[in-house]
Amino acid sequence: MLARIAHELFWLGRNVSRAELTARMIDGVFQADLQGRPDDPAGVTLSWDAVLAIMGSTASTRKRRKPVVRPTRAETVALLSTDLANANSVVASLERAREGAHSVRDVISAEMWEAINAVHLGLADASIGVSDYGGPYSFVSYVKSRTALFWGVASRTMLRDDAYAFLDAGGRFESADMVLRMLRVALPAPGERSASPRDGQALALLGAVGGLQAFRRAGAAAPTATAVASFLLYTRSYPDSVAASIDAVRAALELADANPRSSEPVLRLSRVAADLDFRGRVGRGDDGDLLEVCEIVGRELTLADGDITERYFGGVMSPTHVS
Amino acid sequence: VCARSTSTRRCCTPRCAPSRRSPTATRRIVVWTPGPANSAYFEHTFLARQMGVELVEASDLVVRDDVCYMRTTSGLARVNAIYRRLDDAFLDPLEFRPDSLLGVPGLVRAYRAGTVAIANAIGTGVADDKAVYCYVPAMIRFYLGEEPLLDNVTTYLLDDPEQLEAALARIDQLVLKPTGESGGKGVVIGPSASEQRLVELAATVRRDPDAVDRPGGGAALDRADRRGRRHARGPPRRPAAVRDLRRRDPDRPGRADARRARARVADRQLLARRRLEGHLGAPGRARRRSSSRSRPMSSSRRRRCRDLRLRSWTGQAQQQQQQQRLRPPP
Repeated sequence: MLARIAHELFWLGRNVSRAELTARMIDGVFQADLQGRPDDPAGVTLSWDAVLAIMGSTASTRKRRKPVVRPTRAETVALLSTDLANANSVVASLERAREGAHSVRDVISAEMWEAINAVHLGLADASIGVSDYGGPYSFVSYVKSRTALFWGVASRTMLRDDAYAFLDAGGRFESADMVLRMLRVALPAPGERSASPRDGQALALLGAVGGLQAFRRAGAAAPTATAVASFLLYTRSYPDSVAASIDAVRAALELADANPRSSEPVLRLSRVAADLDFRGRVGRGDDGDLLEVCEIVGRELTLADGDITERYFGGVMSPTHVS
Repeated sequence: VCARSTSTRRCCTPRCAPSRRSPTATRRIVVWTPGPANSAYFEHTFLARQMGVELVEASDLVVRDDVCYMRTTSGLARVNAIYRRLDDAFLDPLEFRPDSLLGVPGLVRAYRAGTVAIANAIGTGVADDKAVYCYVPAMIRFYLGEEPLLDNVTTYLLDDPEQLEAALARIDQLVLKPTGESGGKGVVIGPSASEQRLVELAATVRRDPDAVDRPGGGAALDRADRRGRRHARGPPRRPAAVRDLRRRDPDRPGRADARRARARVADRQLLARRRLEGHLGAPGRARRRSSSRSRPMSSSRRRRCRDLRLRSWTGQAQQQQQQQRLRPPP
């Protein structure tokens, strides 16, 4: 398969996933903001500062003259949802996804293109935007439903070949990366007391990714930050957990690679998956351990991203096979 | 159309340059498109799909040691033949337009070394020019020794004073076309044009016969009948096809109709060969050492080339759009 096509498909998956998870996070935090109280440490709270930290965005990206100490809800929601100038916003991710899909229209199915193009057309409709009165509800619902439609159509209409493998790998890679970012913000620092507002943050994030019911069914643990982080990190039976996502990326790349045993990204992801499996079985650990695991896995994912680019997307500068 | 893709693939296959390491390995053919911004992209996609080969863009191809490869997820894969769908001027920024983002640096070097075949060959674009159409019957008589089975539509070349006067005398019955344009750009249909438009056009043509609505030349084709109605004739015949090596001998008589004969004649680069042999050397004959004798690059040219190697796909798409609007310089 052409490296350019694989690259476009990989980033198509990543952008769609990023848009979906960003929308989910906005939704979760918005709901938590409505329900929780700042003076209730056990409540479901998450500051909008934390959300910006997760996304790597700051209010200063809008080039304000005066630095904003504490961004308001409306500012943060607008920055992360409809601000095209912010590369991490939902709309920017979806626009990039549409551009990528347009360049591989003959590889993806027509229904997939319709699904992604309909988002582009739909977001131009003012009724779907973020309003001061109704909040981001209609926007988030629309994005979640359309991205779910995209993945559903992709799973039903695409041939299970290299193209699907790279699309799937991109989507799951971004999912692992985003959940990991959330956990690194939600987990308490080593010196922080355990019964902290972070418990509420973790629970809000669990609700954001839609894993509340799954968490309750998986175990009887109290929804503390540690328990939620362990669930989102180690539980392979939950598809949006970091372990499950990394495993899915590895499986997809194994399918796409003619020689996976010598593939650096496959080997690296296999090591990370095995490490997560081991740590999950030995003991869930305390908050400090979990934070360290998150940092280690985050570093490995960054390296794996470079490995994937190097091996599959034209980084190879010498011919590996000549026919 | 399906028959065309089959014949294109069949014609490309014998042109495939052999691999040095494994001469018996499968030969790889690709269709080279300028990209999705090109107006004929759908045609390129369809053609590649029908041929069962990859549709590549400039960023997919790379030349290493005078051998052309395409970037795949498994590394670089040797390319033996390229069916190109972009103009000569954009092929190789090292040889032609240095600002080309659609080209592959070093491709002409690989072509000279005989490691990759390009169809149509460089220079055959001249046969797509409308002015060449006038000479096709003469070419058939000269090179094939046959009479054309189909007569040409009467065509006047406006840079010839006599033909110019003859055309202007009946301009209201003619269709005037710029010779180098395509897609109907600059075409004026005499029978349906207003009197004022025809007067302006006649003045323009008389002032500069090479500028019919655009710089580059003009021709008047007799597309209207004597009663001033437009003919229900087919589209202008474009003598562009893949060079057919199965009929190498131009003197061999054959029962070909005029259209096929025109295509064969045009594709044998009869017009372009002399020009090319002096400039580039015949493809496949030059030795690989010839690349080392190429002229040294200036620093600015080298900088541009480095930028081209590190080019972004965005820039490539922009140039595709640019190509739609701007004519390449002569």
